[in-house]
Amino acid sequence: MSSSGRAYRLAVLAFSVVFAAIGVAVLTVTLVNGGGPASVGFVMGISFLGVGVGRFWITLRSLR
Amino acid sequence: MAERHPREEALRRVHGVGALFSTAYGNVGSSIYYALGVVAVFALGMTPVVFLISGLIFICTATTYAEATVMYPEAGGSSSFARHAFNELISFFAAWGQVLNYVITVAISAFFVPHYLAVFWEPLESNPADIIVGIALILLLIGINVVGSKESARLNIVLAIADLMTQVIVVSIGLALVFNPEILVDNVELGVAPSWGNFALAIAVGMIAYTGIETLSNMSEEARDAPRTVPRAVGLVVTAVLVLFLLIPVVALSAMPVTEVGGEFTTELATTYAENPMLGIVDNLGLAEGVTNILRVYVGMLAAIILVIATNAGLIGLSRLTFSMGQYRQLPEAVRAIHPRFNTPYVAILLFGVISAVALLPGETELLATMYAFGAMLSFTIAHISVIRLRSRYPDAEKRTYKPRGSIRAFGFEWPLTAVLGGLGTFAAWIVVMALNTRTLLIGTGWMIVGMAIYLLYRRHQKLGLRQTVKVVMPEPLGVEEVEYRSVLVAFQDEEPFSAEMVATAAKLASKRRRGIHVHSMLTVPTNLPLDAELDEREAEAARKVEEAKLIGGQRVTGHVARVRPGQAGYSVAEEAGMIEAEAIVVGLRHRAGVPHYDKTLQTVLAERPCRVIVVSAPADRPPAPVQALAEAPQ
Repeated sequence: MSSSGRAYRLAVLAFSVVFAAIGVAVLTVTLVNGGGPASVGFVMGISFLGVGVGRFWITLRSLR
Repeated sequence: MAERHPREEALRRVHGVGALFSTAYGNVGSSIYYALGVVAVFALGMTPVVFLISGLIFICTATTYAEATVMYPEAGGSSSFARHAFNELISFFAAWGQVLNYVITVAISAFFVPHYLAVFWEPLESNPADIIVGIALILLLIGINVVGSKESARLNIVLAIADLMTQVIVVSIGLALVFNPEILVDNVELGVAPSWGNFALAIAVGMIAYTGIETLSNMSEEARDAPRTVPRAVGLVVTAVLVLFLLIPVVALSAMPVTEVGGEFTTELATTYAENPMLGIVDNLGLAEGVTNILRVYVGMLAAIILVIATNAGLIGLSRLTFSMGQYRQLPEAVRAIHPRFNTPYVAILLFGVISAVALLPGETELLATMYAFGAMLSFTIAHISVIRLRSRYPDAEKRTYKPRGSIRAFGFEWPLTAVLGGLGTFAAWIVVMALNTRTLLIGTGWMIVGMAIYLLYRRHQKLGLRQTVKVVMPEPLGVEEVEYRSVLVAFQDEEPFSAEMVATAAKLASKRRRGIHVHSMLTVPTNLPLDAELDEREAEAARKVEEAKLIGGQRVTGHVARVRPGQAGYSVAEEAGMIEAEAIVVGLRHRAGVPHYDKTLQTVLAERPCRVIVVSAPADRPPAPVQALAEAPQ
């Protein structure tokens, strides 16, 4: 794999982790503060987590 | 004799990576001067995170634009992509959203100019002075654009570089003097300051920082080696913008931390400096007073100039977009009517310029920002979906010479991940803007309904299907090369059918955009009738030729119906050419039984000609080899 390809994959993995981390943080704070599944924080948290984990998984799958 | 003008380089594909980058950065980079404060109002201490997230969505959007622009290097952006991927109705939807973006870009850029000029005179930063100056600026630019101004590409590039360098210097000083990670962490109270709702809204509003990506699509027609230069320029713009737009809020919030006052969390970035945030950074860098004052004046002046250029770019973008919409018969011809003297689309400039001024009237930055997000997110979402659709429709398209990294194969084609993620992001942001801001929902929906009503009525009036693409065909002219005329007269006799070739030839002769083409459509009135006799049907037929010529020749075509007596047509053409100081006359040549017929009108035109005459053979009955003659004007 070329160095630019490696840098791209690394950047994608890093941003996927950042998105997943934001999702976990938002979800945790929402749940601790009593927010339910219909709250803005819950929906946002799930969305960020989903996008982060999903993109991470796609990148890992393509590496196999 | 008519002057010869070498064809201008500007019409060729001349823009390299540097020019594309500078122009695009000039557009995108200007938005930080207003976006920073607006985003901070909603995002408070999370502003850098918001810029990061909206920046990632921006990367996806820029990648989508690069892929589709390389496939279809033409003006129009998302509306062009939607046309190729879906149909004209969806294309109009995207285009109308873009029109809203441009309107808001004009309004918000103009509104922030007085706030930066306040470094010279403080009252300019408060209501109603800012509104008055903003509206006056828009009206002034409307006037300048109606009369017709020349943009200086070189000046724009110089200012874009000055802008980039200034932002780099401010960030560097800030990182050295005020950057403090601890403050940045303390600025955030998760779920409280900002609330999750405001955080979500800020991400959508944050997209306003990336206004201007359409520029690359609009310039692609003039890009040299587009498959190579456009993606490179996109890459450079994305890198520069992402890095700077992440570091600028980091410095800003280090310099102006979030504080709790009476239970409310706030920062000076979202209050005192909401409408001139870059000045807020300069004021809080902790520099010596003298240096601060000099830097303040410099940043204020540069920001004001750049925002004036952004306002003007918005107006130009509006007229280009509405022109493109007119070419595809998405908007009534009247909207792109050309001023008879200045040859500019004055109705479009006036109409949308005034709408921008009205949008500015409330003087509410937040409303403008959410309205921008509404239009932009809609337009970007359509762009993303269009690229996915294009991959599905043409999986092995030869035209797709640029294919970004990151695809996943499913359902028989490769899904572009950037378009999928970008589309999800922009669509979610569009929903958030509507769900969390009722005024934006109502005004935005109203805007779309008005647009759709205009489209439906116009299409019905034109007897065109809603999804049907009607492109005005620009036929190849008959081998007219390397000569250009300042003004060209196209003459149609009343019994002569409209000839697209004649107009195309005139367009080629007058190829520089500002060269005028005047259509002289004649109506012969029999001698037994008064010259002003009612001849509605034939008058309409003659007028139709002028309109058809406008559809082909675009903005610079003017024309009128001239009533002449039998046998006077040739004199009328020569006289008209003399009056408008035409440098070439284009007339049609008809055939009888395959033989060219030099009728009396043509003979008179050739005899009386005040300038060159280009004779174009009518396509319907000409012999196999095209005939074209060129007569020099008498010395």
